[in-house]
Amino acid sequence: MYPDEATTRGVASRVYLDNVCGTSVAASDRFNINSQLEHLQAKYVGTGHADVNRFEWAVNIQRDSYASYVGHYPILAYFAIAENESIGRERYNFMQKMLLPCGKPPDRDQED
Amino acid sequence: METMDADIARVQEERRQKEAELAALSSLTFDRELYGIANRFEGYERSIPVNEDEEEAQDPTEREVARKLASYTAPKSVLADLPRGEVTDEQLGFKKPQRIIDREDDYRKKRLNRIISPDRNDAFAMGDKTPDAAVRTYADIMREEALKRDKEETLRLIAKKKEEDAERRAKEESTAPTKAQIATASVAAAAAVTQSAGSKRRNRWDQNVEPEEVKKAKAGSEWDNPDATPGPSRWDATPTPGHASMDATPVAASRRNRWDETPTPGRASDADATPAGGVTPGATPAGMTWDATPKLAGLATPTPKKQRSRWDETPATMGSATPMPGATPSVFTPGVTPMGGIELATPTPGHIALRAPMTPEQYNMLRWEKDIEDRNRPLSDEELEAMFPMEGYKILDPPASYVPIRTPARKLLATPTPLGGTPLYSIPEEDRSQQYDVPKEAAGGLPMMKPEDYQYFGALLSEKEEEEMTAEESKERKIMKLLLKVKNGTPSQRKTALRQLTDKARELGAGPLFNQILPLLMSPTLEDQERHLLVKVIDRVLYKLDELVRPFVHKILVVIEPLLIDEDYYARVEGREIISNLSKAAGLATMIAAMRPDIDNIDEYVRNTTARAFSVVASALGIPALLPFLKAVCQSKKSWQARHTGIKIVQQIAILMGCAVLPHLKSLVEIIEHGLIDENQKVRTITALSLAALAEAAAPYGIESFDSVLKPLWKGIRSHRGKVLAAFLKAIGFIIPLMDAMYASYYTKEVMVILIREFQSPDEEMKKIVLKVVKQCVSTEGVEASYIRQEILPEFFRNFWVRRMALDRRNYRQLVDTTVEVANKVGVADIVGRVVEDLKDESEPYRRMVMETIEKVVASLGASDIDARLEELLIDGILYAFQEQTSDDANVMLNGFGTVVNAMGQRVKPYLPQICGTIKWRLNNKSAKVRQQAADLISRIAVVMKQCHEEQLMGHLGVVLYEYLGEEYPEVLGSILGALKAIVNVIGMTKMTPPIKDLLPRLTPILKNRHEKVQENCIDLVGRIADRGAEFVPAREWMRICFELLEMLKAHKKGIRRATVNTFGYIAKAIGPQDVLATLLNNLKVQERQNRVCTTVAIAIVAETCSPFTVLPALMNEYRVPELNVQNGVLKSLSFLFEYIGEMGKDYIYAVTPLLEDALMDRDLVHRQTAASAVKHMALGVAGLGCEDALIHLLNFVWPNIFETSPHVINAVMEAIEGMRVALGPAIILSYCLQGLFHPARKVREVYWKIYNSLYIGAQDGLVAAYPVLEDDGQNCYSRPELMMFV
Repeated sequence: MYPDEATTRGVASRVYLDNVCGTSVAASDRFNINSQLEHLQAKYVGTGHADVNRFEWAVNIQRDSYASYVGHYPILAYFAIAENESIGRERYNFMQKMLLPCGKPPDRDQED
Repeated sequence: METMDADIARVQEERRQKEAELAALSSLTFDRELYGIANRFEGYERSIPVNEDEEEAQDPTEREVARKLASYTAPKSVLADLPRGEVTDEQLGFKKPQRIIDREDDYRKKRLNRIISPDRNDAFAMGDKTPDAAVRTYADIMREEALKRDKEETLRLIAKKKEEDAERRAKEESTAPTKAQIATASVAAAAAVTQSAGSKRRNRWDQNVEPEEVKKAKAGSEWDNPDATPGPSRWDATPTPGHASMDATPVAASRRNRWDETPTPGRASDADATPAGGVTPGATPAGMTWDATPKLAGLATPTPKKQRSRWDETPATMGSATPMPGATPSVFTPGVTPMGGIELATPTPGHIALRAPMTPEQYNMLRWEKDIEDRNRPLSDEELEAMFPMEGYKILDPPASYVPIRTPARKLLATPTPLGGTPLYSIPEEDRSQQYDVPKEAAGGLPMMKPEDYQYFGALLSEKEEEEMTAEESKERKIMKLLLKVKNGTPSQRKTALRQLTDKARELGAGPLFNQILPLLMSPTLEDQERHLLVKVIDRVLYKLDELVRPFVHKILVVIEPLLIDEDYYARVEGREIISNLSKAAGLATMIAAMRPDIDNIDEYVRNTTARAFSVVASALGIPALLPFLKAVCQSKKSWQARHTGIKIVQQIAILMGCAVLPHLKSLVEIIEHGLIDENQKVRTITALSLAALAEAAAPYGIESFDSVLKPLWKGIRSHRGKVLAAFLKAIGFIIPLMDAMYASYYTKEVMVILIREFQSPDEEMKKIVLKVVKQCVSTEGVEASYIRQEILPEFFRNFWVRRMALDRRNYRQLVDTTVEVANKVGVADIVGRVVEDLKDESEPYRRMVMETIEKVVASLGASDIDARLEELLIDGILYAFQEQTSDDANVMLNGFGTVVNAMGQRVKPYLPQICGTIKWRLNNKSAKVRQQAADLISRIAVVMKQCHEEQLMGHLGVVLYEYLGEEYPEVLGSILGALKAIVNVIGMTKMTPPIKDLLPRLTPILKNRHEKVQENCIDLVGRIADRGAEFVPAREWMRICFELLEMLKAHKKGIRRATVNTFGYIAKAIGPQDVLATLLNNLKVQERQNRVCTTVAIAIVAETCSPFTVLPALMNEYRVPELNVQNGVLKSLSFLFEYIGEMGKDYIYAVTPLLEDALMDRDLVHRQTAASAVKHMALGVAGLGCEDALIHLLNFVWPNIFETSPHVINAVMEAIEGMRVALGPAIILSYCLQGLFHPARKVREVYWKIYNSLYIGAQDGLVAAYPVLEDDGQNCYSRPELMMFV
């Protein structure tokens, strides 16, 4: 976080600590109910944030979709008829697809 | 001259001899004075009471009652007449901040004797390396503990031996024949005893005869030599008392005692490893008497060291890495404190203010002392020369035994000797740096410091330039600042500081953090609130530091463990939480390593708290993880203390975890069962208590786990007596209810013999336990009523139903419970028949106990078993007891009376005239208390009077009560109103006398009364009349009442406000909503917010009771008033209205939409907020009822508000959107969301993702069908082909 060199350390850490103690961010929106709400939301896999990229969001969509297919028996049956497979096979396939639903994640720098 | 010299020499010699004699004579006295002759544990509790858990279970109200019982106070009626100013203050919760130490008892105060031990080695962090010699490892600590134990043991033996010697000598001498000798012998014996007691103290420091000492002397010689490499010897860690005695060996030339010893020779080599704080002799291990009183006394005594009790240490430097520069093992560096520069040499008040903990009294004392010293300072040589003639005098050498007085305040004179000039008087120079009692301003927006804070936060006051500080220093300072803000700051300061401490915990480092927090927590002046805050800091920091806390675990435990036995429930919970988090962060191995040495600590207090802490660890990490360790500890051969503590841990686990012990019950019982036949009595006792706790926790399951202990338990009750027996009985009492009926009956009969024998025990503790066990035995299925009747009852009543039992509250309660339990087996008649006569006993507490028992028995079993004769006796007795009561607490009698009368039902009819006569007579009594009781009694028996068809009597009582409505005591008036309400409820509006139309106008002025009890009863009565008998009263009267009710909306008590709002509803229903509504709408214009809020609620209630269409037009019309408060009030009413009417709202949604449109576009934030919450309620109400078009329209108005930042507004908006999600389905909201999820501006994205997240959590499954179609790109497949399938 801050340089470790012995010479700069004193000054750097002080500057750093000043930032720590500064109240530059408005105190009001740090402690209100909304921050707690966001904290709560963050506990659920599948929720997102401002820095979510296309790939991550799509993976969540795909997984939710497969979970939904597996969870609703009539839909599962419908797919089974359409694909001429057994229901159990369909369920198994969907579960397997949840592993890497969109393939490998793209390279970081490519995406940015 | 020669002769003179010889003369002088002779005189000196004589004096020396005298002094030597004196020293020999007084050596004992000196020590006795210093150390005290009494046993230092006197006044402490040596053990925890047998059933401590019961004591803890006491809830605050009970404690309150106990407190009240314990002291005489003025009668309540007198107190009630006092001006209510202070009372309300108290009620509002403005309590003076209370110091924790003030409410602690001696046992709890022992926490202050513990030292915050130095950091320990983290075995995990170092991997395979052998620990550095300087670090304290587990082995070191175990060695220290063993040594301490050995020493204690040796001391005990020595003391015992001496006592025996003295006794023997006394005996021998007393056998001698002459009378005179006998007399002297007894004196000598007494002296010897005191001497032995005194020398017991002395042993520690200066006796050289003990073999132990010789051994240590050897070690000491090596130790005094700084060149010798000491290795990680045990002396390094903490200066044990034995350590001090080493210095008293002949190695040192002068005779030194521990006071003037330099703290840490030998330490210089590893000074950077051990915090300096642990080093000063002030920080000796627990239990030294001399530091037990951290009082002023130190100031007067001769040595500077003495003054520095451990409280005076400067914890600011605790553990700081600066080694003491000048700490050589030289003989005399008295002032060497870790602070280097600032030592005791010149303690100007300014310095002291910074460095030492000073109470204001101490300040004064010091100032005063300095003044005196200034006037009485010794004369210097120059001064003397100026005074005396030069000839005829000789300057002598001071005698060898002369030791200058070294009071710090005197020493301070050494510095300012005036150089030249006249020594007689000098104008004192004003010292600007001195500060007497005005505390220095804290810089940089820091909160005020209290005098006792200077000790910890003094460094913040010194204006050191930021640039001069090292990184470490500035970090330390930062922590200090934050802690001060947390401790003394305003709530907002506190919040930010807490947050910063949490966020940066890892950067600030575990060491610096804990080295500042923990000493603060040990501060003797700590208040509840401060402790709470600091504990909170630790809690937060723990989360962040995680495994970094390992070296500090024991330190933290030392300060947190006392919380586990605090009398405050919340403190206990807090303590548990911290220890639980700590064990999760540090891991089991570290926790065990930290606490294992404390398990066989010599101090019972330490063992007790450690056991409790261990139980918390068990609950945090799971019992199975701890089982192997517990097994080992409970079988320890080395010390009974270890076994005792191990078994106690099991007990605490059972108490803490309750039925969660069930899966491990068998192993827990197996671990402790051998303790029942342990050689040590204490171990046997605690084992039995642990079994009791386990059985209690496991009830009603798990009897098979106890199979192995049944035999030793039942054998034990035959062979033991006293405390052990009590514990065994307790265990049996808890095990019997787990058994099958057959076994229970058998075992009960076995134990009953002993129990009946112990009925007569004079021991209070035993009595309580016996009562409890009887209760438990009797309540099991297998025990038959006939057996109880024949075997138990006669003895039981003879021994327990005596007046004395009613005096102690716990006995009282236990006896009542047990008797009720017995009654459940043998029936009402037996029990009530035996005690009914006692209702006329002359002791009031006893009568009350009888009454409570009868009440409980009758309440649970009914009165059908009571025959005519008993019934007569009972009513007679109850009437007598009721009339004779004088005490404040009337509830028992009232409840008893009510319960019995209600249980008997129609059988009371013959007695009713008598009862009513009594009531009427007592309503007229001079004493307010009596009148109140009489009125209360009416409300209890009204129902029964109706059952007995005594309407006429009731009507009569109604009239009597009506006449007493002029009552001036509010408590009594409240009761009278309550009684009237009870009568009205029972006989109905039409038959009521006085008629309602007379009664209600009489109540209107009473509504003005500000007393809560009056208000509550009055509004209940008025509401009741408005609900059932509104037609008996003219509308004008109701309107008048409406105006009065508006005032009541301000009441403090929620129940009153609610009753008032409901009454508005009834009145509106009775006389039509228009007039009431007009009153209410007018009330929206008032300034007071609470009043307006209540009014809006009332409007909504009126709308609910009289249908919305009667209210909405007027309400919407009111919105046209161009006034903020009114418009907001209208919106709020709408919000409540739609909340109350639910799906009825679908008929009105189109009507109010234009109004809401307008409100949602208003500039005023509150408009939009309130409108949004109205939309929310509306949407939730009409979900699925086909109003989507209007809702989408409204959503378009709500949506632009999502970027609001004010917390209330954004909350309301988000909730409105949630409501819309329910009403419109998630797909529509998702389509609103999609436009912003990947918006280029982060601020926008953040808001949209927040909405998306709550949408996602609310309707994850529903979104699947609505997600946008994403194109595949390259190797990634984003499309969902399954959705395209078609059959």
